[in-house]
Amino acid sequence: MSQKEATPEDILRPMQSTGRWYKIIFAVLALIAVGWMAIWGYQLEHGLAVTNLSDWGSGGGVTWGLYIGAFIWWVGIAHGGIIISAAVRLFGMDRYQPVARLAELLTIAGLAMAGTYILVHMGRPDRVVTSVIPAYPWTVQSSPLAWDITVITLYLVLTATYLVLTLRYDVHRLRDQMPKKLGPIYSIITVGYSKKEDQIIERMVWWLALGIIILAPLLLHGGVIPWLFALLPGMPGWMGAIQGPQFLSIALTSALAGVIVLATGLRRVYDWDHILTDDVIRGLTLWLGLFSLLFIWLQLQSVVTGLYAAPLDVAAVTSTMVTHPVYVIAIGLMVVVLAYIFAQAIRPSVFTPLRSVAIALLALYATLTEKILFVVEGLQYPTFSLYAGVPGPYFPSWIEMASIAGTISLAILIFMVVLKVFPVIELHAVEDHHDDDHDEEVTT
Amino acid sequence: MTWETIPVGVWLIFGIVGLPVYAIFLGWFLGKPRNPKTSVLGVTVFLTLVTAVWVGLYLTTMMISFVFDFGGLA
Repeated sequence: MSQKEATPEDILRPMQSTGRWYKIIFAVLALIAVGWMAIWGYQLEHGLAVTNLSDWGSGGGVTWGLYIGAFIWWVGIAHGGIIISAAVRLFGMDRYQPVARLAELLTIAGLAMAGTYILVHMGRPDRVVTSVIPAYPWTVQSSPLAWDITVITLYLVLTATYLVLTLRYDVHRLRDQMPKKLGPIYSIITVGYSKKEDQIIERMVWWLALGIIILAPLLLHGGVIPWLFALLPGMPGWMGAIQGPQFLSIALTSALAGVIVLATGLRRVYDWDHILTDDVIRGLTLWLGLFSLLFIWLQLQSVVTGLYAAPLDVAAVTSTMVTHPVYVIAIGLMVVVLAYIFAQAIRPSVFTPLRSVAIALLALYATLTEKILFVVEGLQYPTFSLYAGVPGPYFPSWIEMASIAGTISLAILIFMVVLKVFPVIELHAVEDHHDDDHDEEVTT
Repeated sequence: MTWETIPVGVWLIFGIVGLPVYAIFLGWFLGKPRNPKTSVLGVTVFLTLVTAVWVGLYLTTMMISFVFDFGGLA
C-alpha cells in the first residue's frame, strides 16, 4: 500500500497539466466519435432502411435490435452513480467517497448515451420534442414510452442537481487553483455561496440520495424500462413480472463493472492509488460479485420456468435462447466473473486491480450482448408470428455496430473534458480520508 | 373500479414514481437543518436543469432537421 497522504493537490492535478497521451487519446476518440456521427448522418440521409430495422425489420419482424439493447445497457451502467452515492450518504460507507463523483459522472454520461440511442433509433429525430411535449397529458395516461421519458429525465436531472450542489463546496475552496479561464462557470456554480450552507447542502444531498435510490433502481431499471417489454402479452420472451428484477440485476452488474473500469483507469493515469486504494477497488469487486450472482440466479429462474412445462410460445423462445451462442457466451463469461470474485474473496492474494478491470470488461460485454439478444429474441418469437414471412435472420448491421464504438468514445470524451473542468474526486474524500475503520489500509 | 376510472399512467407516474421526488422537495423545505434560501436554490437548480435538458434536446433535433433537410414539422 502507498505511504502517500491524499491532498487537495492530488485531485486538482488533472486540471493543471495535460500530457501528451491525453492529447493522443483525445484525438483518437474524437476521430472515432466523429466517424460514427458521419455514419449516423448516412443513416439519417437514407433512413433506417440502411440498418434493416425499418418497416417490419428483418428476421421475421425485428424492428428493435442493437440500438435498443445498447440503450438499456447504457441506462444500466448509469446506475453506478446512485449505488455509490447511496452507500456514502445513506449508509455511511465513507471509504467509497473517492469514487462517488466519478460514479455520478458515469450516470450523466451513461444517460446521455442512452438518450442518444433513442435519437439514433428514430427515423425523424427532429420530432422527438415536438411530439412528446404537446401530447404528454394524453400519452402519460397509458404509454410506457412516456413513463420512460419521465423517469429518465428525473434521474438525469436529480443526479445533475446532486453534482451541482456538492460541487459548490469544492469549487469555492479550490477555485484559486482551478483554471482561470473557466471562472464564469465557477461563478455560476457558486452563486450566493456561504459556508453556512455546507451543513444544509449535506442534508439536501442526503434527501437526493434517498429519493434517487428509490427512483432509479426500483422504478427506472426495475420499473418503467422493463415495462417497455414486460407488459406486452404477445411477446413471450418479454412478458412477465420477472423482467423488473432481472433488468435490475443486469443493470447493477454493468454499473459496478463500469465504475471499476473508470476508477482503476483514472487511478493508474493520475497516480491515485493512495486515494482510489486497492481496498476500494476490492470492495467494488465484491459488490460486482453480489450483483453478478443475482444476475445468474434470475436467469436460472427464467430458464427453469421457461423450459419445464411452459406454454408452447414461452418454451419456444426459452429453448432458443439457452442454445444461442450469444447467450451461452454471456452466461459463461458471468461464470468466469463469479469464479474470479469468489477466488479472490477466499484468497486475497488472487486480487489485483488489473484482474478486476479484466473481469469488469467481461461483465460489460456479457450484459450488452445479453440485452441485445433479449430484445431481438422477444421480437423473433412472438405468440403469433405475423411477420414470419419477412426474410433474413437479424444480425446487427455495421452501421449499428459502429454506434457502440461511437457512444463509448463519446462517453470517455465527456470524462476527459470534465477532468479539465472540475475535480472528479470530492474534496471531502481527501479531507476526510482518515475518518473510518479503513484508515490503516489507506495509510500503510 | 379505480383501475377503470383513473388511467394507469396517472396513478403510476404521479402517485408512485413521483413519491421519491416529492420526498426530496419536502425534505429540503421541512427537514432539519434547513434554510429556505438554500432550498429555493436547490429547486432553481433542478428546474434550470430540466429546462436545459429539453431545450438542449430541442435545439439539437432542430439542427439535425436543418442539416438533413427534413422540412421542419412537415
